[in-house]
Order: sequence, then C-alpha cells, then structure tokens
Amino acid sequence: MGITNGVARRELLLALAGGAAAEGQVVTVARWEAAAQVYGVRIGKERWAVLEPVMERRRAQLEVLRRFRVAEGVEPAGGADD
Amino acid sequence: MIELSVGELGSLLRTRKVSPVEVVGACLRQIERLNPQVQAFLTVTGESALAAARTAEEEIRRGRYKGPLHGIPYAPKDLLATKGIRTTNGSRVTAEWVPEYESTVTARLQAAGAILVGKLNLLEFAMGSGQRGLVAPARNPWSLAHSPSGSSSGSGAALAARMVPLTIGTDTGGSIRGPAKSCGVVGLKPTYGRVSRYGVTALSWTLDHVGPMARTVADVAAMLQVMSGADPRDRTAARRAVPDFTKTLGAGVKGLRIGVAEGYFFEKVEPEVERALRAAMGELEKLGAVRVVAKVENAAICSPALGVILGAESATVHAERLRDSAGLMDPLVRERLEANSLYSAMDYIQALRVRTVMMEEMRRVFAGCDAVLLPAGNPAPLLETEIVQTDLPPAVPAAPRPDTFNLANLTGIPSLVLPCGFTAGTPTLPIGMQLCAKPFGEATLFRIGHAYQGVTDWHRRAPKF
Repeated sequence: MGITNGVARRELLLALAGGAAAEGQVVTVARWEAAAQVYGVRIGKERWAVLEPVMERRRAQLEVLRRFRVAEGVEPAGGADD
Repeated sequence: MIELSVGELGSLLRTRKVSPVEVVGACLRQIERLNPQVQAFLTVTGESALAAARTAEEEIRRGRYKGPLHGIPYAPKDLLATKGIRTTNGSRVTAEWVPEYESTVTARLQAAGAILVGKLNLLEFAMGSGQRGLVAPARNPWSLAHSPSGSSSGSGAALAARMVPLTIGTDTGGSIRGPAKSCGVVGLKPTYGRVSRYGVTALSWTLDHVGPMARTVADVAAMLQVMSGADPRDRTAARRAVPDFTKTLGAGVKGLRIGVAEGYFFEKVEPEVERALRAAMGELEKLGAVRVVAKVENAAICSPALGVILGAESATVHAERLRDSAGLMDPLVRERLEANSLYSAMDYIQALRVRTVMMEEMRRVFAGCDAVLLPAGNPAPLLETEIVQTDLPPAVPAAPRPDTFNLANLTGIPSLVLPCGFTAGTPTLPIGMQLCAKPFGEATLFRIGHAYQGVTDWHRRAPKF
C-alpha cells in the first residue's frame, strides 16, 4: 500500500524523516524496510512478501473510499437509530 | 417430528401430546445420523439436553408452561459463550476454551425454556474459509459438494438437515443471510442494537449482529421476541421497548409499499435468481402489496467502507491472538488479520463517515417505502471454490458474487432472508430473497415474510438423504 515500484507515496513520505523524498520520486529504500517503518515493524520480512500483493489488491477499493466525497460536518454515527 | 415448525411443536408440547424428551431425542438421532456428512455440529450436548428436556416435561406437566420456546431444541453458532460448554470460535486458537459465563442470548433462550442441543460449525472467528478449522467445513444438505455459505455455516446446514428447528447466527457482512439463502431457510439480521452481543466473540463492534434462524418466518419472530431487549452488559443494546411481534405477524401486506432495489444490487445476479425474485414480488402484489422503485444512491460505496471498518476492528479484536498464535490460524484468517492491521486511522474514520452518509440515504429511501426487496446473492457455490488460503485471485476465477448484504450491516437496518425458489437442473439449490426495513422495523419484515410463506411452500421442501 502506497509503495509501488520504489516510488515514494504518501505513507512512505511519512516514514522518511523530514520528507527527504518528494512524492513520486524514485527511492532506493527496500520495500520491506519502508513498509516496516511505515507500519511500525509489526510484520516481518517474510510475511510482508505475502501481504504486499494483498495490500496492493486492496488499494483500488481504498482509493474509491478515499475519493468518496463526504460533506464537511458529517461525523461518524452511533447506533442505527441515531 | 423433525419436520415440524416451532409453532407446531409448541402446540403439541403445551397440550402434552408430545414430550420435550421425544422432541430432543428426535433431534439427537437426526444429528447422529447426518452430522458425519453435513458437519453442522462441532459439539453435541446430548446428555445435558435430555436432562433439560426431562425438566421441561415436568414443568409443563405441572402447568408451568413458559411460552412458545419451552421444550424446543436449539443450537447457537459456536461463537456464543456457553457457560461450562466448550466454545471454540471454530478456531484451533480457542479450541479448548470453556467459558465461565453465558452469552445474554443463550441465557434468554434458556430462561424461555429452549433446550441447547449443541454448538454449531462456523468459519474461523466468523471470518475464515474453514480450511484449517477444528473439523471439516460444514456442507450444504441440498448438495454435499456445495457450500452452505458462511460464516454461520453450521447454523444454516443444521436447519436444512432437520437436525434442530432453531439456530443462532451472527452477521457482520451477510453471515446469517448467506447461509439462510444457500440452505433454503430463514435468517434475520436484526437492527443494530436490537439484540445484545454480550458473550459473543466480536469480529467488528460496528458491524456485528446476532440473529435468529429457523425454517419459518413465524419461528424466527418467536425467537427474536425472546432474544431482544436492553442489556446492561452491552451498551449498544437499545433500551427501546420490544414490540409483540406475534400481534402483527398475520396482518398481511395489503397497502405495504415494497421498493424493488433496481440497479446495483442486481449486478452479477444470475438470471434464474432475478426471475425468482420478480415472481416473489408478483406474489406479494397479488396479496395487496404495492410495488415501488427504490433507488439507493451510492450503494457501491458500502463494500469498501465495510471492508475498512471490519478490517480495522477485527485486527484490533484479535491483535493479541495474532501476536501469540498466528501459526494456529487458518492461513486466510492470518493473512486477513495481518493485512487488516495496516489500515490507517484516516481510512477508518472516512469509512465511519461514509456509514453516516448511507444511514441518511436509507432514511430517505424508507420515506418512500415500507420495505426494500433485493437479492440475497446467487445460489450456493461449490465448497471447493470457497475454501481458499488467500484473498489473491484464484487460478480459476470464482463465480461472480453480487454485493447485496453489506448495505444492511453498514447502516444497521434489519434484513430478512427467506427462500423464494430453487434452481433448475441437478443439483437443485435454494434461491433466497432479501427484505430490508427501517431501523427497528422487524415487525414489517415478519408481516411480509409470513404472508409470503402463507402462499408458497419453498420453506417446506427438504433435502433428501
């Protein structure tokens, strides 16, 4: 998610101190190392190899969600009859 | 006896024409006969069930009849804690867990005199594929090569196989309604807050629902009556009064406006299913219902929003288990939980705001109709296509899966699935229809479903063994 073909994206920028890389810039950091920084080293290198394509597959759905326009002021709801 | 509905059994029990011991015994014999093939039960509590049946028999004999569920056997999905009885969650991680407490739902059923005969198979933690569960996956009684659908797989299969007349399922993204559809039985995902979730292993606090399953709408209504209501141990359980569902059950559908959800929900639906749904709507119109069009705007956003909420919350629910016992999990469950833990807080909050938008949208839709009719998905898939190790695309593309359940989970509206036909050819598989109503509108769904079952016999058909 966010790290494809070594191109820096939003999450990677968050991980690289002070925004050393610019959005879209080709970076040399290994994918797993970047992922480990982004996600707080909660997953090992071997598992990342399994998860990376899964996350990549989820990206299209995430993009749909991110782009869905929610009017300002709409807050998370509580129960069904709120 | 195993073919009788709860209403029919209740009448015989109350008048002492049949004993609870006979009813429980008949169920236990059917379980013993068919469970090796169907794998609906993970645990059978025969001895304690027969003891409870003898107690019920004595209570009824002494005139202490508790109501329509007294002496009726039932079984919950093995995600509900049962005090002193192994509760596995369908997982090797919790395979030996014996709870010291009782879920509110099973406690209420017990207080109403219902008799627990065992615990039902499911997909691991209500989210796996069943591949490396405790036993083999449950199979569809209509065709053992087919899936009963999940995650309440045993709850649907046990009903279709006539092992028990009442079961309990849970539904976070269709897990009651999918099995109801695939097994040709009735399943209700109640309104969010209608039924307490205390003692039910969580998957997603925002989306989880516990609900009744049976072979008739009237039986589901009787069960919901007992299951519902406020619970100090679950702050999401609504404090509003529970109506008497039996009062309006037979009120018919004359004048009720049923909106047919055209468009998105029918995408990927097989023609045979669409024909069955339109025929069902025709039957309801003959009974006096008024057909209107229900257009749900932005329906396609439900799936990604639900995916992120379910993902982020399930990763939180199971964080400790994932850290300590990942190797015991089904590979698919592990993969999902690990990937789920990578969602960002911003995505999660965006999904929750989308939930608000869709709740408002359904408020608008229900201003124009009393209920919405939509598909309950396609007929049961082959079991082998359901058992996967990863969410990555399979070598052989899976059958298209319509997105018809997520709307009700995301918005919390009640949703009822009942059988409305069978596929042609061999094997013949059940087709289901889905009805949704505004929040806490279960009584409307029961009216429609009960009226429909009064003029059709799909729910009376039984698989042959």
